[in-house]
Amino acid sequence: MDNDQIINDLKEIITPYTDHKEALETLTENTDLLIDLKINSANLVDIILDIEEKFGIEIDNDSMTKMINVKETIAVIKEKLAANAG
Amino acid sequence: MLGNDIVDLDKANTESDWKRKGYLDKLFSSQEQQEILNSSNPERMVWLFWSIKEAAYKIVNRETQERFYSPRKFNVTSIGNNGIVTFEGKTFYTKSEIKDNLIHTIAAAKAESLNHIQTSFLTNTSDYLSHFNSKSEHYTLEKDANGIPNLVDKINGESHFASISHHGRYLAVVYGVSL
Repeated sequence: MDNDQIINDLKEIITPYTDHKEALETLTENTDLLIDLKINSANLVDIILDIEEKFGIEIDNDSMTKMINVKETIAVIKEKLAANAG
Repeated sequence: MLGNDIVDLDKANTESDWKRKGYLDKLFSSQEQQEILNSSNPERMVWLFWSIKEAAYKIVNRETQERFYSPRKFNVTSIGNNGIVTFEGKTFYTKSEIKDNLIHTIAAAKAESLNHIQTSFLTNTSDYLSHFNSKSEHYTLEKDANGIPNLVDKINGESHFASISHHGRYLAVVYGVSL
């Protein structure tokens, strides 16, 4: 799965949790979930649970620590997908 | 050093489904979960525990200049007026109040500091800084280049720690001029 595919899925997952639709439309690897999309930190859990369901992965607490921007989120998803495949 | 966190209960309860499978596991230790589920108002307890963790995170974030998302690393061992939360061997002291559908928690590195923290509640609007400053006689609330708030004495220019939190309809500014 490449980054563009993951970004498309992420946009879909994040949609209900942000009012900043413009920043969501133009979402890139450099987008910060809390600063740019103004996602509430209590809703970050919802996003992480949605990611687990969508990609069929399990995200441990250590991985969750870094998931405040798109770049780290993609890295975690790829790492967990690779672990599943292996 | 101080921190604070505010939760608009109406907003929290509409936007987050804490009963969702896995939700509590990501945020709370099994002991915290047990306390939440055994309480007479679990929903309110979820957000009380959460606000304590967030208020302590604000202190750690300010000290380390690092942003991270590790709610489970913050262990709440006591709640209410004499709250205690630990993080990587450090202890923080907290005090929470629940009123008008909001929960507000202040946190400090020393228990006695809590008595010196003042709180101003404002409406959560984009021009809250000018709103706060128009009402404040002695101090100006400012944010530095990193977005860190400070309360500056209008007469002697002295700078004091401040912490801002907002959620839904509510915004709180806390500061300790004698800290």
